[in-house]
Amino acid sequence: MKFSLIYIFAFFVFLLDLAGQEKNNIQISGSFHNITFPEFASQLEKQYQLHFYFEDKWVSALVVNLEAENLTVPALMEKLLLPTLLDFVYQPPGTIFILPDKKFIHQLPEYYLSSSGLDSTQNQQRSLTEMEQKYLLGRQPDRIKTIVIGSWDKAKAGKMAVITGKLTDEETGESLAGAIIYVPELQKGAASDANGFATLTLKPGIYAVAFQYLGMSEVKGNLDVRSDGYFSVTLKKQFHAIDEVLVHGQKAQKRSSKLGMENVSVKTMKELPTLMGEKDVMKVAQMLPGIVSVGEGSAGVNVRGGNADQNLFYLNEIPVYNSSHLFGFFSSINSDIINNFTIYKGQIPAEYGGRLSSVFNVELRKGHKNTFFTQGGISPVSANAEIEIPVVKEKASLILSGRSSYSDWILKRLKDPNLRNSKASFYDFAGSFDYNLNDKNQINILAYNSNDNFNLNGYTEYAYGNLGASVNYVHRFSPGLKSSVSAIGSSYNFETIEKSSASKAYSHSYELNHYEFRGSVSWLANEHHTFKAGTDLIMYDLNRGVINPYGEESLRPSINLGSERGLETSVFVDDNISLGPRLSFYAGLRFSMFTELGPKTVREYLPGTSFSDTNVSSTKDYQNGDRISNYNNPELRAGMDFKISENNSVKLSFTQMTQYVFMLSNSISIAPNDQWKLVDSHIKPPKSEQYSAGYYQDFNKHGLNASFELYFKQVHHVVEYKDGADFLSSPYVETAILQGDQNAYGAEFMLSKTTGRLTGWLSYTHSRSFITVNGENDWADINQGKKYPSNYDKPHVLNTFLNLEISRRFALSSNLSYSTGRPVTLPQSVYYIDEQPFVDYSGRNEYRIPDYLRLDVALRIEGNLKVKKPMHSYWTIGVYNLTGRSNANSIFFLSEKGRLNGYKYSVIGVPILTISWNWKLGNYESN
Amino acid sequence: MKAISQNLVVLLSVVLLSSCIERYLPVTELNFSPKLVIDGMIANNESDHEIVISESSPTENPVFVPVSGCKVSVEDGHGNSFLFSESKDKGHYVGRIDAAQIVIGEKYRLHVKTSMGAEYVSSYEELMPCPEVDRVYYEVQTKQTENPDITENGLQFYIDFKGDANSGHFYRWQLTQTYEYHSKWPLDKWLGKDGFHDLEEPDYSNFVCYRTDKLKSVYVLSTDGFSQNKFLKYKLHFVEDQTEVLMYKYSLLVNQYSLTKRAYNYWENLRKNNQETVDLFGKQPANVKGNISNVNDTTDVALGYFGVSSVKSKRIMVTPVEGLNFNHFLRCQADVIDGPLPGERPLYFVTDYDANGNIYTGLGAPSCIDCTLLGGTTVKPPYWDEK
Repeated sequence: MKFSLIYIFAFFVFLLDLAGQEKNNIQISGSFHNITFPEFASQLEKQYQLHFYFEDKWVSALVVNLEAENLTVPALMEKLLLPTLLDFVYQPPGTIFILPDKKFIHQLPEYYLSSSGLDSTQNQQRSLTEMEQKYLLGRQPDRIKTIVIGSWDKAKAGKMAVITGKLTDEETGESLAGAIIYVPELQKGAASDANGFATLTLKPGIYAVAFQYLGMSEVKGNLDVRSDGYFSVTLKKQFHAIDEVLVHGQKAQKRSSKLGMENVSVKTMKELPTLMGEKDVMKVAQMLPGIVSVGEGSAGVNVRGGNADQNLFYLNEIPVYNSSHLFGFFSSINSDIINNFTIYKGQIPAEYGGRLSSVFNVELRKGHKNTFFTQGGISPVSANAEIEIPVVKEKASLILSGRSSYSDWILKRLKDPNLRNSKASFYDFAGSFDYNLNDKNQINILAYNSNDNFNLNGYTEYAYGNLGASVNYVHRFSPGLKSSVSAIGSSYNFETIEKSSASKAYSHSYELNHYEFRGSVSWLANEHHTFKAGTDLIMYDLNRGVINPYGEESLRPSINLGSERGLETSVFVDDNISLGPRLSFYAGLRFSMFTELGPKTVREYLPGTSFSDTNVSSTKDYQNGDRISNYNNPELRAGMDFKISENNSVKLSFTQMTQYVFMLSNSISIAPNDQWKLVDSHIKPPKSEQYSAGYYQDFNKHGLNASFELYFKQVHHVVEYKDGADFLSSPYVETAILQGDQNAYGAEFMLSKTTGRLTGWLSYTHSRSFITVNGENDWADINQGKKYPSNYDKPHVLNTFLNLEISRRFALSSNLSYSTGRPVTLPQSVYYIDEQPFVDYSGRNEYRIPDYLRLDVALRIEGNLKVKKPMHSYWTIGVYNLTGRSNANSIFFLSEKGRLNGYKYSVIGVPILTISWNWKLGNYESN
Repeated sequence: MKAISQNLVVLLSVVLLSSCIERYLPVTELNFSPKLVIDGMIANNESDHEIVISESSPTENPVFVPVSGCKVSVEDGHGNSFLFSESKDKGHYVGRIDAAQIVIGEKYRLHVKTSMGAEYVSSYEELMPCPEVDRVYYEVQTKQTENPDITENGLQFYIDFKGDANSGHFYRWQLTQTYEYHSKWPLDKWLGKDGFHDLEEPDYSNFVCYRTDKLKSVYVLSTDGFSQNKFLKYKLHFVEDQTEVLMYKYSLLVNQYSLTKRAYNYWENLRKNNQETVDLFGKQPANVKGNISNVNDTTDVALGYFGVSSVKSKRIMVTPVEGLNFNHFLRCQADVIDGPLPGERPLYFVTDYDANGNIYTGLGAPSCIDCTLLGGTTVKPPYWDEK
């Protein structure tokens, strides 16, 4: 900032001028129409003894339209700059400095005081504040709203005031989450939380502020901060007469607010071309760096080289144990009710724990509190609808959302004979009640249910579902001190009936119950210090179920896979400290404890032998409530954020995680009957350490943001399975498991453009993930104890997403996904047994399936743009896999009729055209 | 899990109109190094036994590579040793163990010393009892294909298993099919190198053939833990009616071998890794570990398995079944003589019907006249006329 010296100089001059206001002689007359500021300046410079100092980029958006008749220079400039963020300093007789924003007036006292080396005293501060106040009041007419917060009586000398504002939509009464309060003069702002509350610490005084929210008109006003207190602001929908006005504000870079944190906007979800026209948060997530799916149509994602069971998926506070419909083709949450979607994969706040790789946090909408609202959509797969009902005006709202498939329609049209005779269905439901008792107390109640059924050709029936509910109560003791308590229940269950062969037909039902209590306190101690502490208690009650013979002819033995109980208790502290405007630190500690509880029968094995049925030395029966095993793990979280300048920053973080529940899976991707299992006395909890670093750069001129992140992750006790592991035959899972170490590292690059007609991003990830299972004995090795790539090790992943707004009604979007093929074990040689050829497999995962490449496009057509209409709708026409490429999901070999044949298995090998229709109450802009 | 996966394979495999399984040969530079393969079984139904020793071959060029010059012997638990010697067939070692010395409950093991001096020995395998083969039967089934308008008829074969408290729980079935097939024309008029022949009476001696094939598929069963030691309707192979296999008479011989648990695991793993389609969820191929390892280095495990089994057999005969339709089956059609005669000899002159039902004289392919050219024999199996 080469200009800063000039500014400071200018202020001194200005100060002197204020003391002895000289009369200035220059009076300006003239009319100026549709000219740029530089043109305006040069005209004046020619006519009068004036000289303007400014930087072109500050005034590039300014168009001068002005009628002047005998105006003094300050009056003229005020008239010109009042509607802008720009400010000026006039130094008589003829020098005018243009300032980039209206901040310098207020900053002045601080500059003055610090440069004069005097101790700050209340007196000086007050008098200066009053001067500012007078200046502001004199300069800006009453039409700008001033909000008075607190009172002078309560003000404490020299103390910062903590203010909390509630932002709501004026029309609907909906709380605005993610709205921004911005104080330009301090370059300081805050975003509102899920309940629409934003908290700031300010010195008592008067500030010009702006309130912003996507799709809403910006509101400007003054905050007269006297002491701690609350205020509320309503924003109005923005109706554009012409093209959208782009405001290049000082909005915080969302992506880089935490290292390895991703945020997916609802807008992107709507734009991204998707399979079968279903908007899907998980599919959007897979376009971001470091998040990949194992294969097409497979459930679960691998985050930064971690297994699919290392991700925690939250719906508000309800953990969802299976977040997919139809085995992974769709995610199990209606995206219309999502307000915000955040993924933590690098620096994970201490309030989250329990999974090694990531936390997916889906925040639901709070609901309209003033008017009734409804929206929905229909695609070839499913139909969904949502209603929002104000229960108590401006205070309480109820959201109900439902989605149901009718995909039998599609199955009937499929080529595969087994599928033609199959039946599939799924549904999900969510109901949320949100009650703002007052500024200090809020309650949210959420219920969620999802369900899938599949009947394959009459011989396998498959059903699974999630059921969850939560009650959350937030209480504010003061604007800076907030507490939150929640009671949460979540249940996941599945049932399989396999009857293709009557003699061994079976049924199996599995159930996991999760009961949780969370409590936390967050405290904004001062401007530089925020603090959050809390506790989290989870009771797992898990019944792995009984394999029962199905039907009278079944001879299959009944096997009880056993039930398990465990208590996970955690306490956490999160502390954010900023040292000056550029450097801030984050430190967090989570201490988690896990206790495995009876009743259970536990085997002891002969020392030094493998966990196998033949090596059992004794068994022990534990009674209800007995402690069987116990694990304690301190998890350290730390981070640093250094802003090199306004446009770039560097971040570092260290994250430790522990996981007490994992998934039993002997397939490459998650299968619908994979069981969650608790750690126990034989299976140790997997633990990880992650080191990450990031560099972030904004290119404001082009509206581009770039980020570059590096990570290195180590996992201990990662769970791997012995060859041919079968989880339906024995309650003793330890006999099928080996534990090893995992190393993952990578670099993630992302370039995104969020403004203008063309938006989108390009992300590239280079990552590796290796597993080593090298026990003390041969039997505890996989791949002879040598390191091998994990099943989801994909070194190169490139995703681009582009959305072009052709006009206000037409938008074209496309995404391109490329990734290295996943590792696969290929046969090394062929041998003959009984005259049949068989293959001998090589070292684990030594080879790769062919690379994956897919291009999708979609065209979105919005209904008309009338402001006053009852309902708006839009069509999406999309083509998934435009090039029709058959991307391999697997490669395998079959010995058939004495010959060996290699096969490539791909899920979708043709372009798929879909059309979907979405509607909502209100006009184009209403959300 | 497995069952579902298997089914889902299909499900999602073709989910959205298109999923597919295609032929694929990965192009990779695999570091190939041959491994020793020892395949052998002692069965109690005969006295001559065979141990086959070979080397594995590269995947691009799968061939049987025999290993000659090995010293092969089988020992029983009492210290009796039975020496095997290489037959004319390279890599095939034949030995004689009198059926009387193959006793239920007795243990046997294999000993192999290669010409390079490496010594391999198998674990002791116990001879388990084997009950009689219960019921072998079939159902006429219609299978749908990817094209909804085309269905495929055929016979789906099944087997029932019934054991008792004394029989073991692990079995393997080996299937051998024999079928009768006919030439289209008898030998009548032909142009040989030595001139034209025209028999007074057409020669039907190579008109009816019988072909026997061992079915190259692994069928294994475990009734371990079952409430009764039996299993109904175990699915065997499917024979479609698109060929003449089922047209005249079909015979299926089922050999039922008893297995130890370890042998069962071996065969089941082999089957899973080689004869089961992968599904949407994917699976990790497993190493199939046999029971024959190097004496000096137990981590050097030879491919293959040495097993001992009791055997029971059953044969069923299948005469033409209603519901099967061979109308569309056209193996032979006389070539119209158009211009000069082809140069090869012999040329067989036959009569046939054209699309309009008009009779014409053309050339018949040799295999349509001499059925032995299709791998069968004209010798009628002794059991052929049994019911």
